[in-house]
Amino acid sequence: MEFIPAVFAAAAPLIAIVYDGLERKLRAALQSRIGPPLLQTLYDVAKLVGKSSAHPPAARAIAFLLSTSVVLQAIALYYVLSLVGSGDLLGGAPVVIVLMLASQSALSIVPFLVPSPFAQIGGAREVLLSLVNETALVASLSIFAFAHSSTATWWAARSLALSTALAAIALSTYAMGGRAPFDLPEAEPELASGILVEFGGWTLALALCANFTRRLLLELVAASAALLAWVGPGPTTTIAVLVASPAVRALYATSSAILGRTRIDVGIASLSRAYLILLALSVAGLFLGVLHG
Amino acid sequence: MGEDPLGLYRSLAESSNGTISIEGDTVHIVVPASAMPRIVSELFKLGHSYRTCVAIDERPLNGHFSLIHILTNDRRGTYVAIKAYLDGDRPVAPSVVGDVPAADWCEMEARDLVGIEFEGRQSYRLVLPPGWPEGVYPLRKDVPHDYRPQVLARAEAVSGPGSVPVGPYHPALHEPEYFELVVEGERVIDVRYRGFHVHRGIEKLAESRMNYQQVNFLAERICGICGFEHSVCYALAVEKAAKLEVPERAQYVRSVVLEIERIHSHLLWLGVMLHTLGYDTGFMHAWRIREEIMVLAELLTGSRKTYGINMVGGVRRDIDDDKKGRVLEVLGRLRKEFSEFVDVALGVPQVRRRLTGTGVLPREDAVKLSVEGPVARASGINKDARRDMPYAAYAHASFKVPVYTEGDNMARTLVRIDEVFESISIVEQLLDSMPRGPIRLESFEVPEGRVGIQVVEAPRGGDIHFVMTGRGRPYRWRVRAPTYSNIPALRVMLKDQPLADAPLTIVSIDPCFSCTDRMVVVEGGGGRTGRWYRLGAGWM
Repeated sequence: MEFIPAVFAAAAPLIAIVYDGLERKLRAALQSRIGPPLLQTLYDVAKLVGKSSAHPPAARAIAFLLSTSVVLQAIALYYVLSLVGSGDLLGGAPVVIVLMLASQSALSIVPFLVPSPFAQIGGAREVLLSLVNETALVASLSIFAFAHSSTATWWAARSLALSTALAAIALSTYAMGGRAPFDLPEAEPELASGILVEFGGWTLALALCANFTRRLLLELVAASAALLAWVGPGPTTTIAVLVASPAVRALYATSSAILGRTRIDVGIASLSRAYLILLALSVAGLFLGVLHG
Repeated sequence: MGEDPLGLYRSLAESSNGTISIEGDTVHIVVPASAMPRIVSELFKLGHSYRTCVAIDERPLNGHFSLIHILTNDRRGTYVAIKAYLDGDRPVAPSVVGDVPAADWCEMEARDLVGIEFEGRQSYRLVLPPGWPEGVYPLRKDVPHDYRPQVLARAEAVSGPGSVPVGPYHPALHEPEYFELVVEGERVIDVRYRGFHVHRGIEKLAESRMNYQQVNFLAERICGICGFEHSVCYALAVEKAAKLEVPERAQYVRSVVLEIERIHSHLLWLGVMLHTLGYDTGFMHAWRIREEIMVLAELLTGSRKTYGINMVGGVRRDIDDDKKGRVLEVLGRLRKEFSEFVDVALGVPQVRRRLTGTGVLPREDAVKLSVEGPVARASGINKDARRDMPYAAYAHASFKVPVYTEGDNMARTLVRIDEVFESISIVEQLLDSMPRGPIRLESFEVPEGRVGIQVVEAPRGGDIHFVMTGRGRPYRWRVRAPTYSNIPALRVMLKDQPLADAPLTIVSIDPCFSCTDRMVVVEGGGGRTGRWYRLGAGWM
């Protein structure tokens, strides 16, 4: 059982690509279409890798940052699955947080290395969203870890802390995945693909890989938190997380398919309000649980 | 406006030592060039819609150039053509732009293509590409249609710091055009526009190489979305000039197909608008619903688009009872499905929030710029050529003209949504009352030297065709598509808007650049400049 996190993490980029194919099929069903084959994303990435095309001047630096991001995400994935098995949230959660923040930072730098106003604007939007979402994710994961590990006996307070932290985790992992209504950094009709505008060939393949792996990691974080809150840690929970992750993908994909794109100012304001409420409630629950003993 | 518009036109003509004649629904006023600004300005202030101006090289006929300003009295259903003859060696005319800003582009087009100089305004190159030789005016009769100047291709950066280029290739744009948005952060503070990337010399082609019937098919290729209305507008203009009595059944068929085209166009637009908003599910469903209309068009005309059924004197295909039944069945289903779809699409929070209060065009600016179609009706201007100047079979249909006053992107969306339902109703009425009879004239003649002016309400607004008949082909054919009037309004709509809303606002006017092909550079602060940005030229 111990090898499962390692194998999954090693195969994460490939699994993420297949998950994207699943998402496209689901989206097509919602739109009354047949949709592309399940492995279409894999075919697309393979085709891109084989294409020779123009790249931004800082292509090597971009490739380094994107690859680093993918590796960090894969390591974070390993830790998430390991934590689910061991249950040592207070010890392991900081590691996961640092790895996720580092990979996101690497991704956030990339658009500013591209000499295009669309990439710069997309990058600025990415940074703004990250500031809000990462803060919320870190806070909610921390609260969740404390609440989960707490020995407080007041069930209601503990449930309040766990459930609202879980809601904040779900919202932040959804928003950080670049899905509608928060697909602002790319915003294809507005910014001509924004952060991806000058990528082609293998740079685009690498950027897509990084984005897909990030989504997979975020969904696993959400699935892990949900199952930990419900059934507790253990090897079977690890398996359950892997089984549940497509369901989380389906949920997130459905949500993005039925929503439009917000505007950056409106999106940030809405997210901030939602996080403030959820985190306030979860802190309150934690506090009440601690007070109650 | 007073009770006796004809009296007004007569007094305007006579007070300027001019002449007046009336041909059907068109009043022709011929005055000295110096009197044009006063007359055009007065009619515009009295509520006439300024439609376009036409410059004609009449030197082979009478040794002069001529300039015609065309306005319409929408309340009375009258066309008013104010004409002046200009010197055959150095044609100069006073500009009307001071009081009628909507005349800006057509004056510059007349300058570029016919060589008329306008006094009292700043002039700039509008249509012709950079590198086009000075003194060569393509629409003059002494310039052959196959004239090809040596144009050196060169590229030049047009964006400076703080500028976001939208186009010529951009996912939000479906034809090549260029908007340069000057931004501070994510707020647009200035807009520069240039177009004419798909200028194809259609008017010259028709005047040089084609006969009357062939021009129908050329007209239909002006636009890939609303081509049939161009073809109908042209045919109606020629029929008006030649005083042809087209069979009534043909007019019914034209009207039915025009409304089918309107439904398809609005559904296409709705899908594109939802895609611009990031709501791709809405885009897919809008086009899925539209697919039934495309199949219907193929049933009626033989083609999904670019129908090819219109002729001068009638149409080439009839609508029998089988087709009529199928059309009614599909439209009945479409009405229900479209209604449900609209409820869902407009219920998406992001769609509603982003459309509301964005891209506002105040009524007074809409009037000044003589905008057309849903753009006008969304800003409170109650104008629709199908009702105001009925043509084809529209006089036999009863329909509402949706008008909203907010002038924002939501209002323009709602106008088009309402028009889809009205179009369905119009088709049902016309199919129910279609008279029997032939569908085209067997033979007819088109005399030379006649003028026909026709406005057809395209999905994007009033399209106007001017035809001066010649021997076997138009001597002069002028097309002014509705987007031509609507693009200048974007400067008002885009200023002080968030950048994210810029593509949405551009899409909201349902631009058709194939119809339009024009260029302008507008500076902030309301001034205009003749600066010309040089781009790679591969024009001819």
